[in-house]
Amino acid sequence: MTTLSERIVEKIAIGWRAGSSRRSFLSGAAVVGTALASNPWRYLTRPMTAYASVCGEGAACNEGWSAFCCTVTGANQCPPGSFVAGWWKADQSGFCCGSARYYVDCNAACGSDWTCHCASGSCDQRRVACNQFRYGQCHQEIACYGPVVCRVVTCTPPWIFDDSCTATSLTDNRTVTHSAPCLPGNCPSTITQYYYDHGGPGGTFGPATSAERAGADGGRFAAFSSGVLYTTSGGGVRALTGTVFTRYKAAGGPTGALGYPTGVPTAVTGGLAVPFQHGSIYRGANGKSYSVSGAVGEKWRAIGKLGSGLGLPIAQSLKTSDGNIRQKFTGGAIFISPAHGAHVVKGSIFRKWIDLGGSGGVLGVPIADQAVRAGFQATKFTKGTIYSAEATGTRAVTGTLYTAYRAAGGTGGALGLPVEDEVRTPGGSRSQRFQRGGLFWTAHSGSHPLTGVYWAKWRAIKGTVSGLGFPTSGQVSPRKGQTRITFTHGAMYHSAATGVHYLTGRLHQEYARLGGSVGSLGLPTSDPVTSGSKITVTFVHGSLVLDTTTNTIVRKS
Amino acid sequence: MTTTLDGHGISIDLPAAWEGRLGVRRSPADTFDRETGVRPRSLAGALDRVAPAGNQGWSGERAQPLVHLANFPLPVDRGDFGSGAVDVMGSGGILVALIEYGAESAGTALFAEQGLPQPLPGQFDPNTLQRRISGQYGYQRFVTVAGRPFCVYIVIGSAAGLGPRTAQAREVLAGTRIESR
Amino acid sequence: MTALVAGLTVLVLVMAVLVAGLLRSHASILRRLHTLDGGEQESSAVSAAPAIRTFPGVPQPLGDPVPGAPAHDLVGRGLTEESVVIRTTGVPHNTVIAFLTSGCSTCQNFWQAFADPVDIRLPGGTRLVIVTKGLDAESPSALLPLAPDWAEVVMSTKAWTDFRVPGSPYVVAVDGPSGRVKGEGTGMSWEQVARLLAQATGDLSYLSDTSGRSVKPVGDAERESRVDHDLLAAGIMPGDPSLYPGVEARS
Repeated sequence: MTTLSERIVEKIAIGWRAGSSRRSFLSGAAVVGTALASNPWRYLTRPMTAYASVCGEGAACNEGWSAFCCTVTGANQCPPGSFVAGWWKADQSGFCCGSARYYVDCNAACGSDWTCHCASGSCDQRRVACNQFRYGQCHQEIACYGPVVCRVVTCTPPWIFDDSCTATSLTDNRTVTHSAPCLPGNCPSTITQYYYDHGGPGGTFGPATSAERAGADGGRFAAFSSGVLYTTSGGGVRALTGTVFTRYKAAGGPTGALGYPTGVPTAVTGGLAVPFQHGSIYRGANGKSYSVSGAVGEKWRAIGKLGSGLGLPIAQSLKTSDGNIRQKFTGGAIFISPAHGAHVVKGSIFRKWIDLGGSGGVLGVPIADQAVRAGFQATKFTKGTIYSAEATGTRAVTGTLYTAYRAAGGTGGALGLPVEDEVRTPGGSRSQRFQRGGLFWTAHSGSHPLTGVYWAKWRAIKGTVSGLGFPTSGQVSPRKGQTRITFTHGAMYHSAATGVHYLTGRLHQEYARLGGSVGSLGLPTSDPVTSGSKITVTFVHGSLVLDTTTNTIVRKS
Repeated sequence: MTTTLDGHGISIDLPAAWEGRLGVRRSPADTFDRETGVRPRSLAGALDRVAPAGNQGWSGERAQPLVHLANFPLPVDRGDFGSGAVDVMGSGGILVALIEYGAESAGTALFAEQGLPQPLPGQFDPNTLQRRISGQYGYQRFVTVAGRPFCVYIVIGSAAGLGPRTAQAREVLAGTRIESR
Repeated sequence: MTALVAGLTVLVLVMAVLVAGLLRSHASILRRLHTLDGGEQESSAVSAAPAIRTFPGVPQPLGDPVPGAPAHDLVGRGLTEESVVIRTTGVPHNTVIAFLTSGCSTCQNFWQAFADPVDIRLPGGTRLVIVTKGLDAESPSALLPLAPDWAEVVMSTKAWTDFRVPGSPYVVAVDGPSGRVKGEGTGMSWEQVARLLAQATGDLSYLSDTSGRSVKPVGDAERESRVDHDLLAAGIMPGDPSLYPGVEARS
């Protein structure tokens, strides 16, 4: 059943010219419309057909010229089975704003199945694969050639348009008006020229999805189904395709978070960078592209972008349910928390942070950018700090040990930098070694450091293996010139005269019962010495001998 | 009466009634009028845009010697492969175009054939034309002569008398001498 | 009511202009018919043509014109350093050779006329070639701005000698098939020379006002050219009986 509009058109066609079909009427109307759009003054004031106004001279098949490729395939490119074989130019062409317009012949490859026919579907009804003729400046390594399948047009000199072409110039100004509806009109914009140099609607970028318009900083912008083209104030047309275009499109294009592209896509270490008004898109060596914009983008700019050492993004920014935002890069991440703002975590510190559970782990979220100090770097988190130095590696100090570490002066105190991560015993105690000491925590006695001679002794006797356990007190001085630290199962005593020695178990209990270092025995002058079933500790004023078989202790003077 | 046309290391003995042009096409940039600007041509009537100076688009191209020989009056406005001339060629007309290419083309597969060809009537074809014109027959060969790459392109006005006219074209080619550069 | 009166007034004015145009056209047609009938020749092109070699201030040809003197082919160089051989003898077409220089003041009239060729009329199959002296006396850079883009310009001092050219401007008409000079002479302008050539050759096609050609839209000219070309391609030559079906039917 035909619609009312179809019936009206049918009637007009019949009235217009006997024998005309609805299709021919519409086709004619379309050509007239194209003629009016492309060259209205010429068409209205000169005795010529609408076809001639659009397609120029010699558009009929019997006039012997070769058709344009876009008429044949929809793309202003050599079709499959043909190759760029030569070119000529028409000087002072309005199609190229007064410069030369170049016509590039696509000759059939030998063995291809192109057959001679007239083009159809538009006013460009020139010949396809008929003229056995070659201009010969391109692909001269190919000696065998078939007829000219079709021709491509460009305002770009062919020796630039196609690397296989030489600059030997041949001219035919009689073709200067030749055109087709699928080609751009007079003096197209540089973007349109570039677009058609890459095939036009049937080519690399596909059909247009929006009209060309003003872009950023005085540039122009046009979007297509498979890419965008833009110019910048610096001149030249730039293209975004592939994953960069996909990412840009996903980000909302020019009205999205990134805005218009503003500069030249630039090769950077490990990939490609494309600047936009409100951010950038980076394509990595693996071909994947990610954008950096918004709050992360602000931080990214503030730290110097790629100069920060963060590397290229390897993921899109992610907003977590707790309101944090993070974006990972090859060398770290930018992390934004509502309470602490945007900070950078990078390098080995970033890896350590991730290993320890990231923002949900023992360290929490970063509260400062990475600080560089003499000999080491550190990043502070809500529940600790990660330190990194060549000599000590990358170590985190967290929780109660971190509190004790800070109380002990941190990196500037007696302990120095951590040399290992926190160690937890099955019983829940924690310890961590540092350059010049150790930190120990138990639920019963809290955190206590060991440094200096005590740390050296503790390491020498292998700490907990010796039976001492963890320190349960800080360093105390029972009497002038002597100090003591108690442990879970004993104590260490020190004076300049006697050095540092320890006692554990029954001997320590007996020593304590006898008054300890301020008692009659005085300070120990040896560590426990085992001989057979007896363990002996000597003191300034005697010794204690434990017989392990009877569990009895004998004091000797 | 034989007259000799020569230049650019090419010398051609023209038979009676044959005329010729031998030269290098001048770049439009050489004659660009910066005061009035170039009048761009495209679809007729599109003459409202004037090319900006310095944007002529000819930089880099290299014109090479070009020879047009014909047994009819050659028009002034000719394409390098004879368009314009073949349009006014009568049925008895013969056009011989000898087009040199850049030295970089010498030795390529396309120009592998050595020496000027001696075409035979059977080698002419109505489709071997830059632009098919009813009745005309064409012939095209890429050759290297004295180390210089050339395209030889011949158009004959009609099939009638193809043999004698091919012989005339052969005579012209036989009277062509090309020196090495 | 006012609008109606204004509209009618405009209509009357337009009609008046159209009537005046028709009357003017009618008068022009009558005048031309009168001329062709050999009536009073107050502006007749042929009779008004100046006598050969007698125009004041113009150099005389060397000796009497010798219609029938052998002509010569033109061998020289073009303005863009190309070698040129142009046949004027032993060819089916005729050639009008205009010997000009870049310096002579009278030649400027010719250069200007050639630059705007609306009034340049040549018999069918006749070619115009402008010949200047060679590099010994002329500079291509001086000639390039003068040279028309539709006519061949040849630099050849030898041609001046061959044709015994007494000075510039000077025009020679060569009959191609016979290879002989049909007429020669000079004048202050192309119009004068055209009259001279018409008189010398008996061919009125040189004259713009009797040639029957008029300036026509480019589109019409292009269409005519295409039709002519298609007819020629189909083997239909001027005068072919198939072009005059009425005549054929009568015969």
